[in-house]
Amino acid sequence: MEREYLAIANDFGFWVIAVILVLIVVFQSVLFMRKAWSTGLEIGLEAKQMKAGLRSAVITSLGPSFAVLIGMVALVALIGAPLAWMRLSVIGAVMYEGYAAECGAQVLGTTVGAGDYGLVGFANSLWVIALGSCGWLLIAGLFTHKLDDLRMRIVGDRQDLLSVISVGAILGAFGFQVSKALVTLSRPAVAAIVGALVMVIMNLVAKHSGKRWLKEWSLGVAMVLGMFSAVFF
Amino acid sequence: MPSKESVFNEKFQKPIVFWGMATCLLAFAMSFLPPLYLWIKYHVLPGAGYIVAGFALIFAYSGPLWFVEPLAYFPILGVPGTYMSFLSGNISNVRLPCSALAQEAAGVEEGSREGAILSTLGIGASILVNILILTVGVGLGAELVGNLPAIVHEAFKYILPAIFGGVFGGFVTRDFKLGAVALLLAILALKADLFPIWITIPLCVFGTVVIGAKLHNRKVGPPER
Repeated sequence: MEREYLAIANDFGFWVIAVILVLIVVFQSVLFMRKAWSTGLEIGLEAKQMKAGLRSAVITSLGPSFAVLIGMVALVALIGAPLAWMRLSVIGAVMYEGYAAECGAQVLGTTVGAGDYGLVGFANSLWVIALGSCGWLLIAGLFTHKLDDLRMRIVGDRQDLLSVISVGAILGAFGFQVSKALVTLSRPAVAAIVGALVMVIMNLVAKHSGKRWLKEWSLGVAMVLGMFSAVFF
Repeated sequence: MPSKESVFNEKFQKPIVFWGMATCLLAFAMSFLPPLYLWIKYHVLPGAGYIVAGFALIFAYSGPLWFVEPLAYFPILGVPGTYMSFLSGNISNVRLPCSALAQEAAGVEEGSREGAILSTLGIGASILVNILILTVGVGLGAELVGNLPAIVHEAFKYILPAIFGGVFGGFVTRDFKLGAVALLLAILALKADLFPIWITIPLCVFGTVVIGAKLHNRKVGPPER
């Protein structure tokens, strides 16, 4: 087969690079979570509340993480195991990496994994993958603290606006994503509508029965019912 | 006793900004190691023209998003959540839902200082789960995924709209009117098809935020001058 570049793509050196980058992410997450926990207790949050938040995130992230895993298996076949694992743990997104790799191949007049792709094509894909997403890290690294200043200046002493802005941003961002599914008038629309309905119902039940823990499960349940409804539709 | 704001700023925000900046910039530099390694060890370097041409292709898609996404998602993620999300990626499908839901499940106000704490915990947990699953999966993944029943494979094609619908449903109960506004705005923008995605996303987010603030002000009275 012409796919000998994959032997190099699975080179030990790439594993070393991948492990270092993944460790940076783990280090940052653990450090931030520890600080959040201790500061949370100091500013009056209860351990019980923070545990509920943690549990909800673990439950919620299982489904989409598994979806990312399915995407990773496809990506492994294109750019090798260490870099697929690295890109989907650091910076990357499952829909994005394959496209970036393809852009690198396209300008060489080939396609990822094709007979004439080879090592040069692979190298170009790696450059395009790295260049194509480096800006997110640079912008977030340099300007995130400025965004908080900006928000606080806009809100001023109207602290009540903080949650109004956040809820508006959630509805705006996810309203856009939901609309993209709705305009298909097809299975994705079914998944979105069922997901939304299940969520609304579970939240109402949680509110009226006083069973707050239902909220931790709500999104996990909503996404499973939503995605299977789409199949059975 | 120090105020909540000063505790938050001194013990949390300041070290977070330092380490957030350090980790993101370090990862920025290190993300170039794979192509550099290929160059140094195997002496493979495509011509600069090819690299630039490939970059131009991807930049047309991702370049504007570099600027727009941190801005649009910041009100949900908060300071630590922004550093974490843009370092770890998979933002709209994992980080944003986990951030929003952790704040909701703990019953704190979104966007408040307490909200930032919960967003940090939620995103951190989602990152660790994600890495754990991928790390186990990088060894067993192909086999595991290959053995899934066909129907499960099929269902996973629709997980994204199901998540997005779920998050939307979770917050639309706060303000049905604003939810309708958000959908209308997005459907109009998508149907008119006038703008590229990097305009549509901030248009939907900030359009909804501004209208939400106006509706809120009408309820509580105009801001005092």
